[in-house]
Amino acid sequence: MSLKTTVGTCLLAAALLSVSTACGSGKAPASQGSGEASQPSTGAAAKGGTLTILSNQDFAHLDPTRNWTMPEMDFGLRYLYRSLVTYKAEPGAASLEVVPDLATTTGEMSDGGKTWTFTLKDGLKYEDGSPIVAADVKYNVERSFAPELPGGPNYARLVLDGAEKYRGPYKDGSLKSIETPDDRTIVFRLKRPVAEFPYYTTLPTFAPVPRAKDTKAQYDSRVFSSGPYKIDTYDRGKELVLSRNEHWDPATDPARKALPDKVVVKQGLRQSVIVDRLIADQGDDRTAVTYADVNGESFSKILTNPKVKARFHNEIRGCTDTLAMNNTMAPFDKPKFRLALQYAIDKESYQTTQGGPAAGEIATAFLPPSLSGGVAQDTLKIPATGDVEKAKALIAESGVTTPVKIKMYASTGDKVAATAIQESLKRVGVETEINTFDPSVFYDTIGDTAKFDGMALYGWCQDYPSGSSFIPMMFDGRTITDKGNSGNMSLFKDQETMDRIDAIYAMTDLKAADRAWVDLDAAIMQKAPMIPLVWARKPLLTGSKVGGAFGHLIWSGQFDYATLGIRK
Amino acid sequence: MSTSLQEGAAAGAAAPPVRGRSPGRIAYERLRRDPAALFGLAIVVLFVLMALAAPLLTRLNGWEPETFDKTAIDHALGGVPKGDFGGIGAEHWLGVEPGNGRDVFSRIVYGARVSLLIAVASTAVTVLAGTAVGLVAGYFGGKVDTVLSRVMDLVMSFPSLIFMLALLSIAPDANRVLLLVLIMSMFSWPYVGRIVRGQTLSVKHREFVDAARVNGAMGPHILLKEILPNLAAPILVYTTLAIPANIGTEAALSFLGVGVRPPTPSWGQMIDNGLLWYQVVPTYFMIPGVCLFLTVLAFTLLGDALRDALDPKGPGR
Repeated sequence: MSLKTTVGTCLLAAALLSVSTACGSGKAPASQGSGEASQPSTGAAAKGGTLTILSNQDFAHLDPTRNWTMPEMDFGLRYLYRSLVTYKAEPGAASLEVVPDLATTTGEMSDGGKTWTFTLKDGLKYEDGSPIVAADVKYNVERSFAPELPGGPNYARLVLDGAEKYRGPYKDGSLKSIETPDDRTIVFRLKRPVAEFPYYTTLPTFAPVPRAKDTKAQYDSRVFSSGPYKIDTYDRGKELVLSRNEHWDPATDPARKALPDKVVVKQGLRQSVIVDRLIADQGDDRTAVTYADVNGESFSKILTNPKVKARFHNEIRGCTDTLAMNNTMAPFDKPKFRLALQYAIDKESYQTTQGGPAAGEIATAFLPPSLSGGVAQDTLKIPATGDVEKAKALIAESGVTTPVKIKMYASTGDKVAATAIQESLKRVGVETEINTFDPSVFYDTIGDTAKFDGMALYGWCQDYPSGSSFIPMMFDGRTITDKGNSGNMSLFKDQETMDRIDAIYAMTDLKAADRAWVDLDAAIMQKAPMIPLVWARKPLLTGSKVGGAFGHLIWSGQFDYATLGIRK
Repeated sequence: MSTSLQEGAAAGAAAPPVRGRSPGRIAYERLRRDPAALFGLAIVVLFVLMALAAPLLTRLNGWEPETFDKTAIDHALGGVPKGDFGGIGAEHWLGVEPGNGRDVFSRIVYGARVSLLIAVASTAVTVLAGTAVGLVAGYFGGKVDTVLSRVMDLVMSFPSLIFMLALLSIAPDANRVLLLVLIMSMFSWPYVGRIVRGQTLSVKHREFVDAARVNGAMGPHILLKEILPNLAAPILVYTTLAIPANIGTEAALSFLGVGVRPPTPSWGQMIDNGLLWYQVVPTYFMIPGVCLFLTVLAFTLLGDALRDALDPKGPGR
């Protein structure tokens, strides 16, 4: 009797645990027809109504100083606070352009790019009608240095002059390299020229927080609004209700349309339930959108039904899934062998396990198309299913004798994807042993250079639309750390690559720099420190009465909340 | 037990039917007349044969358990099997796995190997270890008994599933099957140990044991020749009931991601993957589920029937 009870509890525990791991896994597949983004015909939305956002999770952070996760940045910046500069609220490549937000311009550069000046617009107000002043922007940038408020973007810390030892306004008072000569002018003094500084100022770090309203750690739950909406109630993990900020002046704001009267975020729902509700499209769900990705297994229900498919969005994320290899150990220390693996892998079957073309495009370079002028770069011209003969020839040239055994690390959610890699490497005599880890420990495991002895499924996403938020992070050998290594997971240390990175950093012409990153990308593909697999897409679904919906390239393909509204 | 069964059968065949029957003979007769036992036995035999003949069966349908079949799945829809019921048809008898098109029949057949091997092996280790410790504890008594019994209590008080998960996650990359067998039996041997100890305690003061001792028999002889045969019935029943429990545990561990490594097929892993797809491809979830259910049911029925059959107070004597 006790035996049967044991079995019963095992399975029950198993079922319960699987739910939580499913929720925990970060990567989720997306989908659509022939590898192109779905462009549903969403009609124009009108003013008014209540928009419901159905979510399976709470926001990581809404405090502008700590908000550095997608799509929280999208939500915060479009609804609750404005930064100095922001991105256009338009679909496609136009969304990568910056426009002035609180500032009158996208910044005036002087001193060869080491000093940046912004002037605030007239008539900017907080939710209580008080004016937004330059000192409030300075104060929030200072807050981002405070160890009491961790988690936010570190760009200000990296570039502001004399900021190395600064510990935030609570301990060290004011930071000298940010000046506010009057209420409408703010000047940033940097330690090196940064041509891309306007991109930095789109981050929530550069949104205003008045000192009088700062509640430190509690500010996360009650943000003082400078945007079109203010927080009515926020029951963390359950529900957030936003209503209009009557003092927000649309005339000062070129990006945000602020159409719905009310925005309700319902949290803690199961993702499969959210998707099923949106597919069914009944009652209030007609004015709802999903916050998290549509789960890959639901694709066939959506894509085979034209009515539902019309409400399906899958913009490209600006992320690249890769296969990282430890370049310092055999057999990956031989560049020819790594190049051979580029040819050996069947990217199409990996893509299928991620949800097919609707979930992502086959990646032929490290930089996603949004960072290479909107066109996918393909310098090696490898077929999507791989080139087994060429791979075998390259392995023979490399001097590695097959069969060779290697270890592969993947998080538990990527088990099926890992078997696709395993199966395609088997074709060239490379035997793979898959080790799966819980997502919570996966990055710590492969980020420990002493323990990471093989390959791993890895990925990188852009922080702002430039190759400099991609290539140096992934391939600059000087960024490698022994523990908690991230970005350069391949431990790739190549002098030529590092020299070229430094040369591009020194450029002040952004267009030329963009071109140079793309060329460097092609050169790195030949050295094959990692293998790009798929450019993931963001699969989302809306109710039938939601208008103005499109995935924004900057917010990793999440809906641009600036334009979402209810159709009449 | 099997020897006494044969003795019983031999005795029954040689002697006229009116004579008194041996306990083995009685049990055999009872089992033969129990439909539940026969049903259980039939399914067990079927799955065991299937597992043994796995390479033959996959040669018959032409699909290795690890081979992807891209033609059987719809690439554009994220790898949904083409055709109804998860792609069941002449090419793939039980359909294909969504996402990669591996043949479900081949994976079930090879999965049976893994599941049954691990379950039977861990049960064997459990029973051997439990019996040995139980016998020693019960027979020698005193301090030996106290120490061994407390150790058993200690192991039994561990929350076994959680410990198995923890141990399997940090275990070195050794042979995964061996590791599963060892870790699964590590937490279940005290259950046998306690039963055996109790039986030993009650048997060791019986007259025939005293008689053997008076005749000059020593410890090992008494343990193995006098006491052990009298424990055969409960041990046998425990074994048949432990196998389905272990099949379930193996499936649960695979389901939780600490079982055998991919691409080795296992029913638990298939159920785990199937869970993601149950709304779109219900067959992929149901097929390994039904197999697991049938195997556990069959062994349980067999175990129950065996217990009834070996019960000296049962009917039909």
